[in-house]
Amino acid sequence: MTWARLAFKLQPSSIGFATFVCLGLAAAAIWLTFDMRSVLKACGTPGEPKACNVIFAFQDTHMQTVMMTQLGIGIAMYGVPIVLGVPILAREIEQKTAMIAWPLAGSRLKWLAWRVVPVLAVALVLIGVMAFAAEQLAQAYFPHNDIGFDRHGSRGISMVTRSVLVLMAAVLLGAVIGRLLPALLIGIALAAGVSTGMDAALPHWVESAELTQSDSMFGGANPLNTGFEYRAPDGGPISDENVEALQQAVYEEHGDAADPALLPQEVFYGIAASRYPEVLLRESAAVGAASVLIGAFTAFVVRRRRPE
Amino acid sequence: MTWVRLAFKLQPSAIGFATFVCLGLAGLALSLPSMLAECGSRSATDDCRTIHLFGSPLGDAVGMIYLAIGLAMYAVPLVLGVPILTSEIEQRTAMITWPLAGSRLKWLAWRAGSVLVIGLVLIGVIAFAAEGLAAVGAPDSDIGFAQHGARGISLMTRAGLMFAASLAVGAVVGRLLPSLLIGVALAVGISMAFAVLPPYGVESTELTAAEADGGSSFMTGGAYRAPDGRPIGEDEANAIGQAAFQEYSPELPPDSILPYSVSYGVAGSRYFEVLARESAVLIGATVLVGGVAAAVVQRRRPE
Repeated sequence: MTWARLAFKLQPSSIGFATFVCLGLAAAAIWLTFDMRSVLKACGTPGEPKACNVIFAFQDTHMQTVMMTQLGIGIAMYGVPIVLGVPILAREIEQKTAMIAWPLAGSRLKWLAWRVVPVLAVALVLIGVMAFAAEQLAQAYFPHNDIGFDRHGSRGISMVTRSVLVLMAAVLLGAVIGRLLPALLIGIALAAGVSTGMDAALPHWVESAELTQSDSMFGGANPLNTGFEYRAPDGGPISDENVEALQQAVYEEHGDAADPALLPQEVFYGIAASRYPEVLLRESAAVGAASVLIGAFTAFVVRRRRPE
Repeated sequence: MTWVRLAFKLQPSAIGFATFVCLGLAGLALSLPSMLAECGSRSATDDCRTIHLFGSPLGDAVGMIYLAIGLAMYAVPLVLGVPILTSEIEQRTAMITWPLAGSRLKWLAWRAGSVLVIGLVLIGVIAFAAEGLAAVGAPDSDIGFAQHGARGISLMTRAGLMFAASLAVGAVVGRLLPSLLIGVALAVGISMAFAVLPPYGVESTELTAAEADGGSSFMTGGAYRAPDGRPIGEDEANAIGQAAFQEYSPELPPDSILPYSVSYGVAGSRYFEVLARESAVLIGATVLVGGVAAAVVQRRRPE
């Protein structure tokens, strides 16, 4: 573990901060997970808790704490890679140690690999622990259903791949800008861009389809909703204005006991929770490729730039 | 305005970031009322009151603006305050500038004072815009404690304290990245303190129904009273209520025989009393923390 010790000696505050944040949040998530699962142990006994029978089992008891922990994890998955990645090159350039280190290293690419890979490995372990804990937390919060797309991007594999992408982008930023504070500030904007960009791309990894009742959120599943429309009782499309008029007419004629078949139907479009692994695979492949590409570009910048 | 140019030359990225964030947020806060008024004139467009990003609702527009202002209140002073000393120490220019300056305190006053003025002007623009936004939310009444801390003078005094704390952290730690990370933790601690410190010793009283429901009061607690006005506990209130409902079932019992809840707190009309005390406490703390930074600069080795 000499490489880990060396990496820590070169970036003690970044790695210390990352360890504290990741392990702290992971511990909080795991504690909440065990707490919620312990409630369910009483299911099937007389006086079983309400959580045993409702979809949102812990909405009344744990929602706020779970949401705060998930918010913390959602911020840390971008904050940690920025704090780890930006200083690697920015500090060497800013403190002018690159002027000594690069010529002495012989190959700048080998030097870059030696500096980036240990930090990447440390980040993968720490974020991996946090991603695993976040996955368990999400599953514990919805104990009776497939969690599908719920909290996608801030748990499990999708969180790890996104964090790696941000880490690589942060290293590149440090290499291009060469100064710590500007690179950190631009890194924050970049993280916001990556987050929104990934969310925007999510519905496009596979084709959306009409969701069945059991696949929709009303069936207790967690699909990715991409659209919604009304359909007339004959199956044809109908505008929002006509929906209101039709509903009013039906209720005026039949009262509250109107046959639901006479009313306009709600139709949801999206990606069913059962297709989540397919989406995850495609997204991971794309994000992984983007990370490699950014890494290659960083290598190109390091190879070409003046060490000052 | 030479000092502004010089301050910008010394901290271009920090001042650029602060200007962008503050003016952007102030612009949004100022334009939001007219955007929402336009929104209300259209038919069935509740959605335009919600901020959407790529199809996902993030939250209501006013709430999101105040959230962003709440974050900027800590982030802007942090980014402005931490690098003042850390960059000089880390890049070893303090080894030249401190002996050359003659008095380290004068040097610190010049360096931190100019950035503080710029920061206060920028934060002041946000504070003014946020105050206007809060007033638009309650056009016919006193806004009192609504959005306290995220608007007006309270926003500026809090940001001032955060700036002084950032300066002190930079002076003690002497390195940029660790100072920024410690500063983030410090900001969390300070924000927690701001949540528990009010109402700064101003005595709570029982609020009238109008004061309690208006949203402009600072609530400190609640209690129950029996129909005859004597204070009772929650269990007794439930028992009286249940007995009344059983007696009148299936009709509803008259309000006069039901227990009622009362709220305690500080009425919105006493807001300025709390604000004056808070400002005094925070300005005192800012001076104290600034004094610590000055003492550290006076004593520490410039490396």
